[in-house]
Amino acid sequence: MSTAAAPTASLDCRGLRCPMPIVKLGLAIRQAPSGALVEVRADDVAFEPDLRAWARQTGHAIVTFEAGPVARAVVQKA
Amino acid sequence: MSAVPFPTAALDTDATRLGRLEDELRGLRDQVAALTARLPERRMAICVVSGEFEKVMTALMLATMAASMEMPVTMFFAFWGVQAVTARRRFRGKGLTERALTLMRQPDIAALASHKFNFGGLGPRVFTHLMRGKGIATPAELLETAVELGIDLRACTTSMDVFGLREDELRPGVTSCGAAQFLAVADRSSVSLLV
Repeated sequence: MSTAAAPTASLDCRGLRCPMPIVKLGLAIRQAPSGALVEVRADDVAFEPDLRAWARQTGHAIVTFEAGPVARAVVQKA
Repeated sequence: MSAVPFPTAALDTDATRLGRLEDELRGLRDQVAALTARLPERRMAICVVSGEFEKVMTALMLATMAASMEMPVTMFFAFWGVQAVTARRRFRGKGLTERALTLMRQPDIAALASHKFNFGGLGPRVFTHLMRGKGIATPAELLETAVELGIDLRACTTSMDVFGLREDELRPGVTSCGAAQFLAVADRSSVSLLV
């Protein structure tokens, strides 16, 4: 999957703590069609490990992950 | 063709052996099917028996996360745990004991007492205020989210009877069920917790 494709939904989860960033992502993914890209921005310290565990368990793919004070991830619905 | 004797005896033995193997295979297939039907699914079952702020909150955090990880979740609220899924306190139409018990329980999730630093209900208010400032969802917000995620929220019928709690005092989106119904789900759940 090309990272150039525009995400169909973008979530700003800055300031939200676990479990809310993943909960918001889960709700967005539910509404999205298969193959859709969802972008998430979050600054929760648990975001990266939680996101990886979430992807492993659900089968959705992490297309890009940019670490930083505010992490940015693009997820593709399986 | 020369008259070579047909090995009937040997074939009979092979056929018998094959028949026995087929029977054995059928038996094993049935066993595998029976065992597969008993395997737990990716599912979560939580029995919330505590009505304490921090326990209810932890249970709701895990439940909402599990639902977000696409696990069907059932939460069974028993005894003091029922306070997390009520919406109001009704006194009309109840006897003296039931009225007293209604008064003893909190009206809703926002009023739960904490195990530590309760200070007459001030503690949870301070916690809630601090958590809001840190972007942490409060128990009430998590419960809203649980409903939105389609988590199966159930109040224990026996506990409802103990507290004289009526269906119309439960929060919308919450139904009641018995222990067997909850256990039937817990029996097939990969994660089952008691809080």
